Amino acid sequence: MTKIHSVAVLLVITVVLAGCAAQHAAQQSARTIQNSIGLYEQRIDLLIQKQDDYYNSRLAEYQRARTQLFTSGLDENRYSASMQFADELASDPAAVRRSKLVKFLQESEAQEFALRTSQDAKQHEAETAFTAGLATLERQRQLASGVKADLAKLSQKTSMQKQLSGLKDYGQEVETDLQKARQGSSSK
Amino acid sequence: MAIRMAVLWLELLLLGCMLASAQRLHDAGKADLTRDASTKFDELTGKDNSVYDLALKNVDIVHAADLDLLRQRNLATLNSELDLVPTFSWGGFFDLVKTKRQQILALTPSVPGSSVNDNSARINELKKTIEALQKKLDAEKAATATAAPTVEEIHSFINDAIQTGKIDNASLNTLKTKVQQIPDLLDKLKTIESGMLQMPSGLQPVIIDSQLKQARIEVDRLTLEQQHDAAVVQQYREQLAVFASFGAANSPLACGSQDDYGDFRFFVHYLCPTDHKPLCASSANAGIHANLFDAQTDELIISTIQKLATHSRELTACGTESSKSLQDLLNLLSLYASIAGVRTYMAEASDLSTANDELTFQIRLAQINAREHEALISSALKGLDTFEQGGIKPDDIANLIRAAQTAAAAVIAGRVGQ
Repeated sequence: MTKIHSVAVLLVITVVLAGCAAQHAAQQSARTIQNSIGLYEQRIDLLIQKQDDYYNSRLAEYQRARTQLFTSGLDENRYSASMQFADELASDPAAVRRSKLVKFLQESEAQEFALRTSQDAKQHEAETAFTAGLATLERQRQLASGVKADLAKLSQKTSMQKQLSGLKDYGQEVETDLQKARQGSSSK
Repeated sequence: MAIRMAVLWLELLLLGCMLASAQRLHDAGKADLTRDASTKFDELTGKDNSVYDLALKNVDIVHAADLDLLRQRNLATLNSELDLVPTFSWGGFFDLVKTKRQQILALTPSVPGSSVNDNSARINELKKTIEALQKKLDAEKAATATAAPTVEEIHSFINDAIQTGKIDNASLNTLKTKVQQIPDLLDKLKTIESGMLQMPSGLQPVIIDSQLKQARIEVDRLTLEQQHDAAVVQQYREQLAVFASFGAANSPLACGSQDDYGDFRFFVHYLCPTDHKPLCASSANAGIHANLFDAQTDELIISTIQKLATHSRELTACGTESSKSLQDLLNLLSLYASIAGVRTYMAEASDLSTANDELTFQIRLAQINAREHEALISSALKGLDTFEQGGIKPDDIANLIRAAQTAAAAVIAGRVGQ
């Protein structure tokens, strides 16, 4: 064996050994990141759970408040409006008119309608916004799971077949580069 | 010569590896077809093209239009009634209130599948339905809380097994034991999870992956059903609250009756003629037989208002008493406006909203069922595509030869340089 052959063989062995060591380190690193992602996933799960619990308790509270508003609060509002209008009529009894009374009754009904429907709309909006927020968290969790799965692949020891296939791909890339270089030099 | 032999051996080795992994020649036509089918299917089922989302939007639009129409109708009736109220006699107004109550009781919502017509029977049925639904919901929530961590554990285990191709038998046995503990209430989920863990040791990623997707879809379905049940309970409760304010008794309003008339009791209280001492009465005044606003049955409402307003101006006990009476009178008329307006609207809208929610739920459920179907088709297409994309391509062989030639040329060039 000539000197150049010995150097080439040594170079190949060095590259292969160094490659193996680097590959091992990369696998180890992927495994570590995978564990970290697992913890991150758990953290998002916990956040989703906490948000869900918090929302459910708030929702129950809103519903209680709304029921109270619809049962006694609206009566109180109506009574208060009646008192004000009674004072207005008492201040000028000669000005008592049918149209005035009708207007008061229409306004009182419209106020109750607005209050009831706005409360319903607010609750619906809150529910929609919260569901959308939870869906975003859920998507984040799915992405984290995807990253974890990819890292699991990376942390695997590569099989001989895959290494050979990789070698083939590497050879193809070398070939492409060489062709490009040749084309470059011939065009000059 | 030795180098050429080495290159030849390398070629043979790589070719051998490729043959071992594919063992067939690549068919470009079929590969293009399967890739096209897979891409088009993904496009078809992509979020932007979801016909279900479109259907849900349409349901919302139609529902909003229905509610608007309902309110316009309700307002037209209300305004025509309110225009007349001041000129009604108290007797006429009481008759109007009686008619309104009978009309409103006819709106009591019917529980799906029930045939009772009686108002109080319907309300009782509604109460029972709420109770039964709440019990079901509580049981489902408890079952999900027990099952959720196990399901999560199984999914994580299966995902790892798909990625690594390895199954740890001890963990598998532990999970198999745990899956037995998933409550029977979630029977379909239990079956899928158990099916995944019963897979033979030679792991079949495509099959197991589609089962995993199916299990996730089942969890979504259970969540949707629970959300729907909770919404129904809430809606029934609100309906009950609206109808409870009209009272449970079916009988028409009658003076002296002890029946449950709900908020209509105020009309009976104030409008039924009774023997009482009149407002602003001095000790010499005799009692009168009239309603609590001192008005006879044939007196016009607007006249009573003017009378009370006039008395209210005085800063005396009579003035204060009259002022309070005027306030009660206006409050009673406002209550009528509320009943004939917003409360009638809510009673009519509640049935409409229940039907709308049911329609929305059915569309969402159909969407989930379709996703399940899509997941199965998508998995099958991807499996087919992966198979057809494989095989030894002509390019592979050409590249191999070119790579070997390049390596040989490089070595020869190296020798020349020596």
